[in-house]
Parts: sequence; structure tokens; C-alpha cells
Amino acid sequence: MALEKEIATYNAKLAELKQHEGKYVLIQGEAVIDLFASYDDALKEGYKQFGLTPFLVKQIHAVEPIYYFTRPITPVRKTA
Amino acid sequence: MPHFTLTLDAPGPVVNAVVAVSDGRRQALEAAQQPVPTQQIVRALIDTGASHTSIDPTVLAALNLTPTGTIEIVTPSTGTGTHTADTYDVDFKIYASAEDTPLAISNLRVSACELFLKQGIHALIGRDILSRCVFIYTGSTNSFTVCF
Repeated sequence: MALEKEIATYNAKLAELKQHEGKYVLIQGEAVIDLFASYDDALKEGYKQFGLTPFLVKQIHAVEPIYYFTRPITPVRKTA
Repeated sequence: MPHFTLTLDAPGPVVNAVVAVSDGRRQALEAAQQPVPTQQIVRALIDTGASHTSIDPTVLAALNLTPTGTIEIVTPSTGTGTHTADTYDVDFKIYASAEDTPLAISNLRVSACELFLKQGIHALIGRDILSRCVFIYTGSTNSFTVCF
């Protein structure tokens, strides 16, 4: 799946990242690049540093939020 | 306050929307001397039962997007557990007609979910966008209004 390595890095670093809950972390591969106050700023830096190479922007949560849909839609993941 | 009023469609409150690559991705494509995909015009259903805006993967594929995140979602089709959906950053505009001021959102994080293409619906507008609007559903006149 896409971003598999970056998600693994996020999960591995979550204990340290939790102190920055609410901020946005930029991760590429196994590297935590930086923390940002906004999604826009993290994306901007991601595209600036990595261009079209995949990177992850994720808001830090101690407990992962769940998004609800009342319609029976099917979530999709892209293969890497 | 810009606003538009439309007639309710058979599936419900449906608007035209334009989905395009985000500014950051556009710059990255240009730097790599790759073509910028043409923006996609879609029909989007306003869905107060969706906590988040979602777009069908066929639209995202037409924009040749790469995911920049994931979220955990619950739907009636996923049962009691959560499922992971990729998320993408897009520029998103909603409008009633070309003359109207669109509701424009840059770097909107949307999830990829298979929708109801047979019903002509390519996107669900969730409460993340509605949090920026006043949405009035006037069943008695078979219309709805979006103010932003």
C-alpha cells in the first residue's frame, strides 16, 4: 500500500510525537522531517523538499480520530 | 455573503464542483516538467451524514494524484471496525453557475471512497466543508441554499 513505510514510521515514533498533539508531522520514508502548526504549511514543505516523491502529512493524535459516513461507501487504498 | 440556491435533485442537494491538483503539487509537477492534469468537473452530493469530504477514486486517478495521508473511517459497509482510506490534497470549488462566486478551498484533504457513479455522484461534501458554510434545506420549496 502507498505510504506504508511512512505510516510505520509514524506509529513507531508516536510515543515521542504525542507531546506535540494537534500539530502536523511531515514524514518521508523512515525520517521525521519536521512539525508544523497547519496542514497547509506541512504540505508546502513536503512538496518543496520531496516534489513528486511520496510523503506523509499527518496530524498528531494520541488516539486516532474516526470519521463517519452514514452511506455504505467503500474506502480505497492505493497500491504502492 | 455569497450564496446560491438550487433545486433539489433526485439524489438530494447536488452541486457542481471543480476538483484540481493543489498548488503545491502543481508546482512540483512543473518543476519536474510534467503536465498538470486538467481539473475535473464533478457532481457532488451535500451529505450531512459524512464527517469528511470524499471523492471517487476515478476522479483522483484522472488527476494522477499520490496520497499524502490516511484516515480511519466507519461506514455501514465496514461493519463495526474501522477501515483505512487514503487521503489526498486537492483544490476544491463549489459553484451554482459560472457567473457565481465559487466556494473555493485550497489544500482540502479528501478521502478516496468508491461512491455512487451510477447515480452520477462523484463526491460527497461532508461536514468539513459545511463547517465553513450556512446550509439551508428547504424541503417545502424543494430547494437548498449554501451561504459562505
